Amino acid sequence: MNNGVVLFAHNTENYDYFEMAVCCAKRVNHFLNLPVTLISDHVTLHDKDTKLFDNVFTVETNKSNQNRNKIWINKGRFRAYELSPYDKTILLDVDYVINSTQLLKTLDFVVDICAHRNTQYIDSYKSNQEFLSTYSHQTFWATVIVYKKTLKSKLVFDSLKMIENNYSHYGILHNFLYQQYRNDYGLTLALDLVNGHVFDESDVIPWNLIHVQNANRFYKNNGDEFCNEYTTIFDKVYNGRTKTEYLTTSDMDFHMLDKNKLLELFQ
Amino acid sequence: MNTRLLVEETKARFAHNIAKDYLKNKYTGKLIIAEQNGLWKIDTQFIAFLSSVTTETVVIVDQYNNPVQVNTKELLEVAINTYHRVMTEWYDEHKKLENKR
Repeated sequence: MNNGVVLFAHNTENYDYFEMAVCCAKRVNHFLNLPVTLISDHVTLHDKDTKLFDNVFTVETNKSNQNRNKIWINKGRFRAYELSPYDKTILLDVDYVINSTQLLKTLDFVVDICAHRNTQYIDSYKSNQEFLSTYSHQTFWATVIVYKKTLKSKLVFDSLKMIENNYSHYGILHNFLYQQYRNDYGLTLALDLVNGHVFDESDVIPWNLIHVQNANRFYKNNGDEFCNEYTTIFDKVYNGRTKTEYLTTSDMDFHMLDKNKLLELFQ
Repeated sequence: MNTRLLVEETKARFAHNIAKDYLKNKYTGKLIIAEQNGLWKIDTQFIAFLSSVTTETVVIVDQYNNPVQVNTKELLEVAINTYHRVMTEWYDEHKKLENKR
């Protein structure tokens, strides 16, 4: 079987996603020993060294989405199915930090497609799960999507395209804010559609996706390029009093929500 | 950057409860294995059940709710090995974190 990782990187005026993709690809090579395919655009790739990537595809960007009044190019994720050269693919967000070999397990058990459904913040032991809305589905996270080239996976990505093109309709139907497109919501709805509105356990990666929040002070414990030990310092309120606490972690992957912090850590 | 100095300067206390939960998150993921066409969560109950089975094969419902026919002895061996390896790592890291202030 031919396995590999696919990354999307479209630079915006706020963030250098290409640099994040480079950091991510290095860690994929180091921890997972898998080839990496990059899907990007001509503007992002201008004057960039792409030797690190096994394949590079350029696509047209859709700049119709915004995050905090700035262009956010996250549409077009459905193309991952047709562009992936692998039989089994791990589609990663570039802000997912690999520190272990844990993701390799997903390639052993993926039936058609799977993604994280349960999440946890690194600085708390009870994290509320996200729902599309109060009376709708629990959200899947598109941060890590593992899929095989099967009919079901193809249908999910085809549905993702359809949902992306009709996002406001689904927003009204499921009562969520649709002004900003989110792949997490798109994936949740696509899986629900393809499964015939029945929950399928095999769509779920059976461990938590760990988030590092923007408010966390987060540091590498040493200067190694592939350091996998970190210390996070955070404030907690106990009985109305704020206390500063810290936690050390090692050998555990996480999703870094603060993009600036991510580049600070790994550049 | 020296993170130990940073922790000292901020007078941060080690978050023991959150650390316990972090370890649980980390190691429960490692206790999940894909073997013999099924996805298994290795715990004491799973090992005890496999140990009690006297037949060569047995059908068990896996994490994805699929009934899977497995070779009892082979799955038990993998389960015990995984359990020992992961739980020893968990215990060692737990001991290390317990001593932090």
